Amino acid sequence: MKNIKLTYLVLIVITYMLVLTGLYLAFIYAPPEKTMGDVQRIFYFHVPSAWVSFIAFFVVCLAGIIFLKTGKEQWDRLAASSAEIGVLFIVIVLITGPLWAKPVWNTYWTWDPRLTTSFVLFLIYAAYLMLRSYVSNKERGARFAAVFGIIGFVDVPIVYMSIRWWRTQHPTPVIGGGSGSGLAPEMLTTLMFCLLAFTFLYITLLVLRYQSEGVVKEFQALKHKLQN
Amino acid sequence: MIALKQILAILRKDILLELRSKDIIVSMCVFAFIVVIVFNFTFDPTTQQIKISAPGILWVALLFSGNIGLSRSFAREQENSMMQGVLLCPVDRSLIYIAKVIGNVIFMTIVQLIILPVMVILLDLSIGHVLPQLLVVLFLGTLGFAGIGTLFSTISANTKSREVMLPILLFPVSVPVILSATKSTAYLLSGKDIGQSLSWIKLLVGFDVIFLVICFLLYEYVIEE
Amino acid sequence: MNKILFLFLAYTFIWTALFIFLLSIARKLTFMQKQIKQLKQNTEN
Repeated sequence: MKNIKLTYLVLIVITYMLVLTGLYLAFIYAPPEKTMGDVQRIFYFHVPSAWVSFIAFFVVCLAGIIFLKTGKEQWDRLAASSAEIGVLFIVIVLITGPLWAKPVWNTYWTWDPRLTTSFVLFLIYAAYLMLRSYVSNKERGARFAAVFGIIGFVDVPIVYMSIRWWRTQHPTPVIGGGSGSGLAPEMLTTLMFCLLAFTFLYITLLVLRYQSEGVVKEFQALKHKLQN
Repeated sequence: MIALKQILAILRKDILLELRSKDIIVSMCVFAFIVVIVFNFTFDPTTQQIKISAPGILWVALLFSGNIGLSRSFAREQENSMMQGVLLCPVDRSLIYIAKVIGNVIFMTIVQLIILPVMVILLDLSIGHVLPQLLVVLFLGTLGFAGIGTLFSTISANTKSREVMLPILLFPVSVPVILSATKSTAYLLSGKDIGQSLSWIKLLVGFDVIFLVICFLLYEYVIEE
Repeated sequence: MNKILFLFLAYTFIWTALFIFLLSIARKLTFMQKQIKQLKQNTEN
């Protein structure tokens, strides 16, 4: 037990250091963007948030598949924890995105494929969390959630594709997204570092969240034992 | 062969039930009418603008009424524990899914065949030249929607507030189907870009296949007792 | 200058959201641990 606690502590400390360094890189090390200025610094935390939500939803799907195959309850717990973190980060993406877009594109929102897909993703996983809380039978609820989580994740590329087709005529705003799109080397380093830091942040949050589910589980088991 | 017979048996049961009560189709039709009429009030029906929004109005009416139909059909199964009866039969779970999808597609298609002429009259649309293609698009869109909807209505029928849960689950996931169905309808009705609508129809077929296969594979996990 | 406000808002939101999430986990944990302790005490009595 003590060893596990130590591992948590180490993980938390590493994440803390990484995120702090990421902040330093994003605000001081990286040069200001030529046209967008300092607002562009939102980018270093906006993109990693999108990345984390994507991993989180992938984990939901994977854990759902394993849960349906094995029926082991801990996979369901993992999926539930991951989905919550995914929704948290997709909300961050959806809030920081418009805040970045307003001063740069002079509009909060465009129906660009990436924006729209993020929004649909948010709707799907918010529905996922609602579904979890609306089923009274625990075992059945876990199965429903797993099925919905799998379909939701398979839906992501399909939604993206359909929206890209839908908006082909629309000029997609140029974001310093993917690699090699004229990003200064310092900026790329910063972005990569922030991606790493946020991945650690995700793992830490997931471990903490999963653990708290475990305590709830323990409590329920204890209560059940007492009643009998 | 046996599978086909079993599917037909379940389908027959659902259709017979509907023929006796008629509550699903009637409520769907009335609801679709209301949606169309509300749109006529909220937009100015005399301008050209409403013709541009016609595909959207049509699909909103069809999807919303379809949503009502789906939740009704599974609520009915729940009320009389009919699902238990079906589950007791030595029938493969996936066949139940196929039968249910066919049943829902049939109900939704009937509603469409009633709503479409009404829309044509109210909005003064000209669909004569593209009628066969339009019917194909309507069928494909309904198939995809009912394919996802059948799975999700089985899920939502077992939740606390099932009427609320179904649309919340169903609409975000079926965005690709809704989008491609509406787009191909719009191109057909505009009468200009038939080629454009064809590529959207191909996309719609692809989405239908993907969703139907996934839902088919996952259905057994949802229906187990 | 106005642009910096947006940057500030975005970062404020990110950290508040993370903080609230962590806080909610922590609160749940302490609540549960309290309950478990109480239950254990009850069984001993």
